[in-house]
Amino acid sequence: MIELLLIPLGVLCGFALGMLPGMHINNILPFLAFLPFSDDGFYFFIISASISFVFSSFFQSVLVGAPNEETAISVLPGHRLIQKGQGHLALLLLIYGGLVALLVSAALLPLFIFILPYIETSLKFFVPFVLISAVLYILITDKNTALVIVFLSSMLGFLTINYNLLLPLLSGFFALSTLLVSLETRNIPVQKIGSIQNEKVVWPAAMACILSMFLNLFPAMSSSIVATICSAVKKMGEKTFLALIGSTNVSYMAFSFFLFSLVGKTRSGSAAFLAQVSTENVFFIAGILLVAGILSAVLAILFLKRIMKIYQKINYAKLTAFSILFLISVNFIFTGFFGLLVLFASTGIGLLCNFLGCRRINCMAALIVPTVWVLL
Amino acid sequence: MEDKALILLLSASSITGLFLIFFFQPDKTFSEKSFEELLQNCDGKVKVSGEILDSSVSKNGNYVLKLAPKVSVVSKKAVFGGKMTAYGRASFYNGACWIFAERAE
Repeated sequence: MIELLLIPLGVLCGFALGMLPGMHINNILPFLAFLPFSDDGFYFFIISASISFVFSSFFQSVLVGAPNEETAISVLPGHRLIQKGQGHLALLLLIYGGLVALLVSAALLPLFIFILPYIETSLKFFVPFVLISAVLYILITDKNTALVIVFLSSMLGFLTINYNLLLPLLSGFFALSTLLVSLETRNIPVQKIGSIQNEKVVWPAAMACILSMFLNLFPAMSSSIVATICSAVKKMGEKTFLALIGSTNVSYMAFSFFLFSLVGKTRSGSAAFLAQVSTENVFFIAGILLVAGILSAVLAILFLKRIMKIYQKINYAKLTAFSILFLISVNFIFTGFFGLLVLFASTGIGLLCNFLGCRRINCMAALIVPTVWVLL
Repeated sequence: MEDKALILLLSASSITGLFLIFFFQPDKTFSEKSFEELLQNCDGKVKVSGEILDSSVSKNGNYVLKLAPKVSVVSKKAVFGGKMTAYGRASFYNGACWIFAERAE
């Protein structure tokens, strides 16, 4: 089984990619099709790179775009902890949350296999209503101005519904707009070394896994929506919420692979890529996920302090400029001028989110509202 | 003590992962099948050889090589010469057996 070596290789590639600001595994998937791997080789590499990317992307989500103290109130809990010098603890919570979610997801797999035939058919009727409820809930829990974002995102979603333009849509909403905003942020303050003591990690991970298991069945959902719904089900502090974010990101990715293997539905870019290769046994996929996920988490914990130092020393403006150029190039190569137009429009909406002080998750209306329209 | 428990849990989970990969790995052996056998059971990893009756290029750039009236090979790489041996996954679709070649000679 020489192909087992593709697990550490995939982990390293995914890890490096996740550390670059604004990068997503979906941005490089089109290039991976040219790699000379067998079907199984693609499985080892793509799953390993995807799960490793999730773990290393915690670094950019906390350390990149860290705001100054005036704007810290309106941003993510990770950024708020950075301002308090608790970035190390924030990252530990995300990584441990992800790690526990990985183990729980694998443990829940037999139950998922058992209940999937029942819930898949019975949930079909509820799909539009659940999606509408998700959008409404996100709207009412945000500022009034979020309505503008939902409206504009939905319009953009309708304009692009007949084209395969998810790449520029999501790159603009979440990556390019974040990169542009983070260009003017200040340096990361000195951080204390933290350790997980009283913060609860296990129950948010279990809750994230159970909700990811169900919400993966719905189209146009995302891990951030799962996290928002989890936080609505049970009120939690910002440290527990961080563990929850780590858990939802990992469990959503894991269940997207399980769902694809069991019923052929693709809920992530990586699963959609593998769908073009072949379909393999779900336990084989779970095995790769476990080995690669644990390797990635251990790598992240062992090199946590060093990576934080790198982010503090690095010429951030140059790195961000490189990421912006790369993102624009990838979008142009794979989606052409029209894709570039969509990228600029979605970036504008993402930036508007920032200026209006509302959550970026509202941009998911671009996928949810047209999906509901089609289903109804 | 907690660290030790975590290390033990992670080691056990990694070993479980490796066991899952080992026991559920896709069948690595390609079983040699004739065209008749393929038409009766077009499934699994197969090895098939024959003369190329017809060839074309699909919309997404794959080569479609017809070996028998209802048996075709889909290959990412071009195959030169009149004969070919393909190793790949067989799948029944649209009234014909298709072999998606991992390797073609």
